[in-house]
Amino acid sequence: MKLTRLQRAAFVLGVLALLALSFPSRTDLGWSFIATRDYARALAVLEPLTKRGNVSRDTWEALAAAWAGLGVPERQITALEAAAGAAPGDRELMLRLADVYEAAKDIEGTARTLDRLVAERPQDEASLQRLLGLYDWLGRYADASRILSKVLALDIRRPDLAQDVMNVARMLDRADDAIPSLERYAAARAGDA
Amino acid sequence: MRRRRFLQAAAATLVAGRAAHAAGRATHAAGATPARAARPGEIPRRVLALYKSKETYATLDGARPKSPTLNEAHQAAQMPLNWLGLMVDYHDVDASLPGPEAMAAYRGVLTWFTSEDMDDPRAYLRWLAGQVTAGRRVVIMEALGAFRDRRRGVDLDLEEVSSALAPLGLSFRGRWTTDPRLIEIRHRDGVMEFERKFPPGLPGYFQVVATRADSRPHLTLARRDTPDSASHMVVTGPWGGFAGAGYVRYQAAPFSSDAADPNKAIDAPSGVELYGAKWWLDPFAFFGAAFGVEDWPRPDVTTLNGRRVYYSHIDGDGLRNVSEVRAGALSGEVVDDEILARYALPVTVSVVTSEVDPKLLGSARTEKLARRMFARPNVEAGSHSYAHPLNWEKGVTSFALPGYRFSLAQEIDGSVKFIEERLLPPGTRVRVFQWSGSTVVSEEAIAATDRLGIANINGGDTMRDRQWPSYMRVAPLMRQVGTRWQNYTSASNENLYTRLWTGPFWGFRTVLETFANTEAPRRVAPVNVYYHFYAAERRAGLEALRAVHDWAIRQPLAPIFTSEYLAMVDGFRTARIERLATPPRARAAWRVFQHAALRTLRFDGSTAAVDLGRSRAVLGYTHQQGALYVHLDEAPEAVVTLVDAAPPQRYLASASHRVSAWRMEGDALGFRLSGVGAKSAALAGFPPGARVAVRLTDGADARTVTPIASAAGLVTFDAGAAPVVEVRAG
Repeated sequence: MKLTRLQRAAFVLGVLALLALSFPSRTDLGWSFIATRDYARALAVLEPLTKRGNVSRDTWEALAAAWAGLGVPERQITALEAAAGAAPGDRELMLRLADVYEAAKDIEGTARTLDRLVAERPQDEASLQRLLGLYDWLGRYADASRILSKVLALDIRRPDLAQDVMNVARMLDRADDAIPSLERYAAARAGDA
Repeated sequence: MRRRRFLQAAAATLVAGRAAHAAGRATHAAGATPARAARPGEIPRRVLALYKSKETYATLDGARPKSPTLNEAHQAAQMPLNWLGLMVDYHDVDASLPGPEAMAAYRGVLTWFTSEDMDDPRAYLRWLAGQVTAGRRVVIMEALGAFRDRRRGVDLDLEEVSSALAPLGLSFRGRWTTDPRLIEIRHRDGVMEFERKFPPGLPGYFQVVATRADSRPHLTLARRDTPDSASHMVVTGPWGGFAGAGYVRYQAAPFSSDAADPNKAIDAPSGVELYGAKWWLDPFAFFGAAFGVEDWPRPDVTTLNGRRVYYSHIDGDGLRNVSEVRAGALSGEVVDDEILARYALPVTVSVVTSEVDPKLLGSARTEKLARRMFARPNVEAGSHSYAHPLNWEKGVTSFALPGYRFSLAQEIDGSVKFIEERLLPPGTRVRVFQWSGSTVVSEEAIAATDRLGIANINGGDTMRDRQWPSYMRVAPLMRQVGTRWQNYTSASNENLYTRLWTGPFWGFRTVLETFANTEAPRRVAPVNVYYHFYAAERRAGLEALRAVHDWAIRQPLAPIFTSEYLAMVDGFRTARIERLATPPRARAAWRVFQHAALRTLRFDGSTAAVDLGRSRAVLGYTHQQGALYVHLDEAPEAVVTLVDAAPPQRYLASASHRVSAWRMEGDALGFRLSGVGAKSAALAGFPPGARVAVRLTDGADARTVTPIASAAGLVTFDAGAAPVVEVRAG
């Protein structure tokens, strides 16, 4: 069978496409180096990828892992911030970023990250609670008050949290605001002595 | 370059360092330091902290009865009290009230109760008032603790309580107010809002009125709607002090980050710090005023010859862990190569002997590694036990060794014997025992180390950084265990910074924040680089170690071995201070004795100078951060005479290492610097601009440097890295 030039070209392109699909990407290669704790080689593979446009979240996360493995927290955080930018609204990623800020003792960074998260996910009770606690701890009363209003808008189901929210509301001189939520809580647990 | 100089000095250090260190064990037989009555003129520097064993203290293991360790005074107040130069003993007021003889040793009493019931509150109140009558200070934090008769189940009348406490001049009037909108601040001074501002809604309060004219209120609250409602919530006076509940400390609400699991609050990344507390009041100023110690010299363990003390110790576990840093290398080998060999800093290295012993979990390789490390001139030996007890109280160990049942004799005596007989160079000894696991040890365990003449350390977990910006997390120097003392570290190890090695593994580098924040605005702790061998299991962990050591070697520190630091803590425990009659044209004069290896007295807020001609056993002094640090020599007794302006005199302003053989020969100064690493010193009292000949003799080599005195008459010079350098200046 004799193939035309066009057919030959189509065949070659098809083979290349198959190869591209079946071989791991450069990011996968980076992850494999990270898995073997060869962070320097992972970095060598991953960093050039970030010079191109349209970098994926996965690439940024791999880069963050490589920098973490090499013990460079500033670069790890920068890469995780970029990953969060590439995947807006990803709760798991934002929480990881918040944790890394916290491990780096950057509590303001933790709060900033959580604030972004709850702006996108106002129903995320756990993050709201954590953020309320952080602002209270930081003595940022105006921000605590802002988050408290979001917490109070939720149904507070747990007695310990209801008590904590009441304590913070009292500290912020906003105990009256907490009463409707606590009434809802009491009504929901009417049978609970 | 640094490494080459260090290695050149190594052989000489090995000999001289060991010789200089040889007598060390005897200095650590401190153990029990019974309180004794102060002699005439002597200033009692012991405080008795009362706790109630019938109260409970919240721990990660749940609520436990209060003890000399588990109580608010130990957890929060002892650190500032130690910093003020005070020793703190503990007594269970639910068991008994100390008699007059026992109380004769004390400057005062500290109570920090969280409940108001007591078996015999009337007897307690009489006892408390009797302390003030006897001239001792009484300091009450939060609850008075005696409003309710526990046995009879009845409350005491407020007037009866106030009447009983007449010598303190505190009138308890009740009127509990909880509505924040009704509470206003009428007066507050600089003692308040120390670590955070008051919130918009103030905590509730009850009315206490300080009736003595010589009392000084620091915080006065009142109700907006009620006359005669003023309450002195924080007040000090010649009788002591009172700080009412709600206005001593801020306590964060323990929010969980997991709405589905309330218990996760403890373990969640944010959970721990949200359980944290901060001081509403300045504990240094408050306790200083309440115990009346403002102008006293403080025995100070943070400083040696004007420089901040540096010490480092490695807990032995993980020595045999395979490291990712280098193919096939053990973590211990990486630490040896990358830290011990590279940094000319003293390190106390311990091993878990079962991890080293080839007959148990070790190998010929681990044994050889341990010997190599212990032979290094910058290493002193420690033991980290035999089987690494995780829980010393229950005898739970990390390693299940065939046929072994936990015993203190094996863990302590056995491990020390193994190290000394199998691992150490001839003539050297184990100097430090580093508690493992929970580090909560019994009096018997400490007695065992005391019998061996070995200092003990671990526990404490100091942090002061952006996550924990409070002195509440700065540990005191020690904890009382029966009649003995367990010494705390001065910083947390890498375990806490890496969340028990769940990551991030670079976490330990943030210990630098604690080092900075325990130096300024006041120096409350030495630099203590404390880690495990497994810190080098991960590359990120090793990079963190490097970052910390690179920082340390650039600082103007006084590097010493851990045993030397602990000998200074021994001296802190035993030091006695006497106020002498003020000599003519002097501010004050003090005598200090029984201070053992402690070498620094600190006078806070003092611009005074030391008149060396009218002082004894004083090398010199320096001013830092508003405090006067006075450097003492090895003599068992020192006299310090403070004056407004120093007479013409030459003295030691600072030195990087231990100073001995100090002598004045006409206008010339002579002394010896000894220890590990690059040495330097600063001498004061020279004519500004003068070129001063400083002769440095190091073994057979001698050289002369000629620094020029600064405008302040200060001459500074480097003295090389030899283990012993003789200096003659002027």
